[in-house]
Amino acid sequence: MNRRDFIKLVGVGLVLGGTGVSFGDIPRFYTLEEALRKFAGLSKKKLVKSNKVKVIAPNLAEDGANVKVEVLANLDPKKVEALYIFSDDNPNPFILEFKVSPYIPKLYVKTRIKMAKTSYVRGIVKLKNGKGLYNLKKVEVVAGGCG
Amino acid sequence: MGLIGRAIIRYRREGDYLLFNVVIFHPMEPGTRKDPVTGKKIPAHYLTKLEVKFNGKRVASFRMSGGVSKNPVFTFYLKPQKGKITLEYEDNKGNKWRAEKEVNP
Repeated sequence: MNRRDFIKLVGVGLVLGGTGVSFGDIPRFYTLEEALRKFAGLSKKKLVKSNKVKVIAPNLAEDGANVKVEVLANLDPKKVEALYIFSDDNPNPFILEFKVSPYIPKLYVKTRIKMAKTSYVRGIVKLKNGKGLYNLKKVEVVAGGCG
Repeated sequence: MGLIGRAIIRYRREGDYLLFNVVIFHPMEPGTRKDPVTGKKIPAHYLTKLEVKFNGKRVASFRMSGGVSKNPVFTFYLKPQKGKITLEYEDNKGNKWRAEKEVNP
C-alpha cells in the first residue's frame, strides 16, 4: 500500500466513524437525526425548544434498564398529533411514540425506558402543522441498560 | 415466559379525567445485549405497537422500540366514559394479543 492509498483509507475510516457506526461494543443503529426522520417524521431543523413541554426524569439513574420518564405538554391537544420520547445517545434513540386523539384530554405520558449511558432524554410534541416542540432532561446513568 | 403478552389495566379518577395505567408482560429484548455466559447476542424481541380502543373506537396508539423497559408500563389520560377499553398489541416476532376491561367511572 502506498502513501496515497493509506490516506484514502484513513479518510474513509474517519467518515464512517463520524456517522456513529461504533458505540463501544453496542451497535449504533441510528443517529438522533436518522431516528427523528424515520420514527417521527421530524428533523432537528423542525424542532424548537419550548418550556411548554416538560420532561420529568430522575437526575441520577442507578440502573439504565429502568428509568421512569414522564412527558407532559401545556398545549391544546387538538393541535397535537403525537408525543415522543427519545434518548439521545441510545443505539436507537427512538423510544416511544404516543399518537393522541380527541379522546385524550391532557397531553401526558409516563413509561420506563432503557438508557445506554448518561445522556439527554428528549420529550417531543409533534404539532399537526408538522413542527415539533421539545425539551430535554439530563439523566446521569450509573450502569447502562442496553448492553 | 408463561406471562408473556398478559396485560393489567387499571384506572382511577383524577379530577375531570381518568388516568389509565397499563402493564404488559414482555421481555423487551432490544437486540443489543449479549448473554453474559455464552457471549452470544440475545435476539431482539420487543413490543412494537399498542392500540387503545374505547367502545371499538381508537383513542390512542403507541409505537415503540426495544428502548422501552421490560414489562412496559404506559400511563395516560382519557376522557371519562362508560364502556369497554380494549388493548391490541403486537411484537417484532409477529405475536398479537388483546386485553379488555370494563370501565365504569
